[in-house]
Order: sequence, then structure tokens, then C-alpha cells
Amino acid sequence: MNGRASTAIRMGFREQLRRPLLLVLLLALPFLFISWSFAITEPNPRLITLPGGELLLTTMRDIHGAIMVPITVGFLAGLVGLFVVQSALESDRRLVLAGYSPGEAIVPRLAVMVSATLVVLAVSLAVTTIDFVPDSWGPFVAGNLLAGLIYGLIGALAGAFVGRIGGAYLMFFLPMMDIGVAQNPMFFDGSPQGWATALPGYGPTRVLVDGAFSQSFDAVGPLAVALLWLVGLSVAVIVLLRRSLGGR
Amino acid sequence: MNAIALGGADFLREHLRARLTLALLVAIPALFVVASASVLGEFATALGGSVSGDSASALGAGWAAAFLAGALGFFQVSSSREADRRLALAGMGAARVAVARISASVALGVLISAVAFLTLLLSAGVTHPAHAFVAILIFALTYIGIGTLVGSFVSGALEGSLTVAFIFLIDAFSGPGMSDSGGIAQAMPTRKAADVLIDAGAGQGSPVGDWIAVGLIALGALALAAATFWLSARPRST
Repeated sequence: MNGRASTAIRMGFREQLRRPLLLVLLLALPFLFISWSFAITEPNPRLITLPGGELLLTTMRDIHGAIMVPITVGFLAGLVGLFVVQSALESDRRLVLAGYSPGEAIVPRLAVMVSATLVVLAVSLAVTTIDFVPDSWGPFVAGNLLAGLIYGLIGALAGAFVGRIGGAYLMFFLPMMDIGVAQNPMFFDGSPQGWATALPGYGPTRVLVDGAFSQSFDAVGPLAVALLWLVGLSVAVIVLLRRSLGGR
Repeated sequence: MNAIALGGADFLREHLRARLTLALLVAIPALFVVASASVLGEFATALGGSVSGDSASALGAGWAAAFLAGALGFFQVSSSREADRRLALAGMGAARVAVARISASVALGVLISAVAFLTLLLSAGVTHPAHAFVAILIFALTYIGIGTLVGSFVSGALEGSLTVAFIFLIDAFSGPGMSDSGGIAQAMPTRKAADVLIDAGAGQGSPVGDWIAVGLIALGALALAAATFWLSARPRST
């Protein structure tokens, strides 16, 4: 990485560190959302279908606690993606005019978005372990990380296409409806309905549900779907930002 | 009066200038009501609450109106602070700017509430439609007040959006029919509106005391929003 890009990354992080309320919210909201969900949910029995097709009897409390992690990470990462890219669209063109390449201007924005997602994910996982330990950490962490990155990129695209206010409306609604309702094993017959498989939260949620409640990994298909979403959205965001910043 | 009407119409046009924003304001409440109708009863049971069936669907309409109105109220203040001050200095005056802003916000709140209500009516049916509509509108007005209040303290768009979302989720999760917890849940801003909405969904009227309470809460929220707009637009002495 060249000096200009690393300077821009450093400045990007410094800009975020000057916003103490944002840091407090990114640390406090996962803690409050997840611990509150465990505290208020009854341990009613619930039969769910795991990605391998196996039926499992668990409790509403465990499912709610586990599913609140991707809802929280997706929601917060989506809003971060929205406003970070809005900020890039407003000001990074000046960097390009001053001699930066579009790539050198884009990397710091994406670095901030990914870092915010990792911070929220780390806090969310730490809070979750107080009340619930997944059967397999790897898929559980990977599913939640994918949910955060996918929604961060969706937020970035939302900001570019529907603006700041429209993007905020969309990012208040989409993660809640996708991960919180359509993919949530608390509802329907304990597995996503057919239409839900077309939504971006399908792959990540099935991967993390497998990790949460199974010691074997049977979510290869959903993992592939999630990775396709991630790659497709990454390409879309990079192309969009390069075009907006005047790149070819 | 003419300046206020003109200002209000312009503020409305400013917010809806992007066609997609208008489309989202119509589509999101409708989709939220339809999607949540089938699961809210189950969710309430998981939280130890009692709301179910049409009452749960009705509550979803109130929530849809609330979270959109909260974001709307926040952005009405945060994105217009400088422009409003200039308008006030240019002769419109802070009070008229505030009235025009509040009129635009209420008009958008009515739009969101009407979409949520009509979706509820078409998808689940409501025995007390007038009660249900008023209760949904109270949700929206309450959150316009909350959003503008947040906007007056928090200038960053990301921080403000997160704060509004935080208040909404705590309010929704601890509301009547959901976890039904005591203490702080009793002080939640939409508690009385939710009581009225749940009753309307179940085909029952609400006690006079509940109507007085929701009326006072709505008036308080609007007064709060008007005061916030006025303080934002008020010229500063240098």
C-alpha cells in the first residue's frame, strides 16, 4: 500500500475517533440489544430445521439471542455503510482532483466500514457468550461477519441510489425484515420459507444457525450463496464509487 | 399565514424531491405491516406477552409508522438547521419557519400512517377503523417529536439514526402485549397509543382515560417538535 493510501486510511480512522458518540453507540447498542433480548425472552421449546435437514428442539430464548447478533451487526453495519459512502460521495472527489487515484480514495472508506463491522461483531459475540455458547464457533462467527459485510455494502449502495434520508428509511427496515423476520427460525416452521432464500440475509443466517446449533457443518450451499452476494455487492460498490469519483 | 403555507409546501417538496424517497415512504409501511402480521403474535408469545391475532397486526402498523416518523423527524431537524436559520433571518421569522416545518412533518406523518392503516385494513381488517387510524397517527406524531428532539442534540446523521433506532427498539420490545415488563416499560412513549391500537385491533373501544393520555402525549410531542424547530431556526446573537 502506498503512502497516500495509508495516510487516507489513517485520516479516515481519525475522523471516526473524533466522534465519541458514534463509538459509544457502536459499543453500547449491541450490548443493550442482545442482552435485552436474552433477558425478556421466555425459554419456550421450539423445533427448528437445521441447514442439513435435521430437526432440533431448542428454546426461543437461545434462538432469539443467536439471531439478534446478525440483526444487530447487519443493522449497524448497514447504517455505517450508508453514511460512510455518503461522506465519500460528498468529499472524496476533491481527493481525486488533488491527485489521488479513485482506488486510493475508496480503500480508506471501505476500511472504515469493515472495521466498524468488526467492532460491532466483536462486541455482539462477547455479549452473546454471557447467555449462549454456539456449538461451532467458526460458522457462527463467519455467518455473522458475512451478514455485517453484506448489509454494510447494501447500505453503501442504498446511500448512492436513494440518498441519505431514503437510505436511512431502507436500512431501518431491510435488516429487520430480512434477518429478523424472513430468516428467523423463531417464526414459520423453524426454517426460511421459499421466498426468503432470494434475500441477502439467507446465506449468512443459515450458516450461523448451523454454527449455533450443530457441531457438524452442513451449510455449504448457503455459505456459497452468501459469498456470491458479498462478491457481487463488493463489485457493485467499487464500480459505483470509482464512477462517482471520476475513475474509468 | 400565506408564508407558512408556502414554506410548509416547500419543505414537503424538499423531502419528497427524490421520487424514490416517496416510493419508500409508501412501500416500507405497507411491507412492514404485511410481513410482521404473520409473526408478531408468535414473537409476543416468545417475550411472554399476550397480544395475538388482529391486535398483533395492528401493533405492527403502529410500529411501522413510528420508526419511519422517528427518522423523518430527525432528518427534518438535522438537515435543515442552517437553511432554516437563513430563512428566519431573511424575514420569515423563527416561529413561522417552525410552524411550516411542523406542518410538513405532520403531513408526512399522516401519509405514513394512512399507508400503514390502509394496509392493515386490507390485510387484516379492523373492527374499529377510526380508533386504529388515530392510534397509528399518534405513534407517528410521538416519534416525530422524538426524532426532532434527537436531532436537536445530535448533529451526526449516523449517530442520530442509531439513537432513534435505539429508542424505538426499547419502546417496541417493552410495549404492552410484548414483554409487558413493569418499571421503565410504563414510561415508554407509545405505551398508551399501543393500548388503544391493541384494543381497536381486538374490536374493543378504549377507556376515556387512555384517549386523554394519548391526546396529551401527541400534543406534547408536537409542542416539543415545534420548540425544537423554533430553537434551530432562531437567529443567534454574535
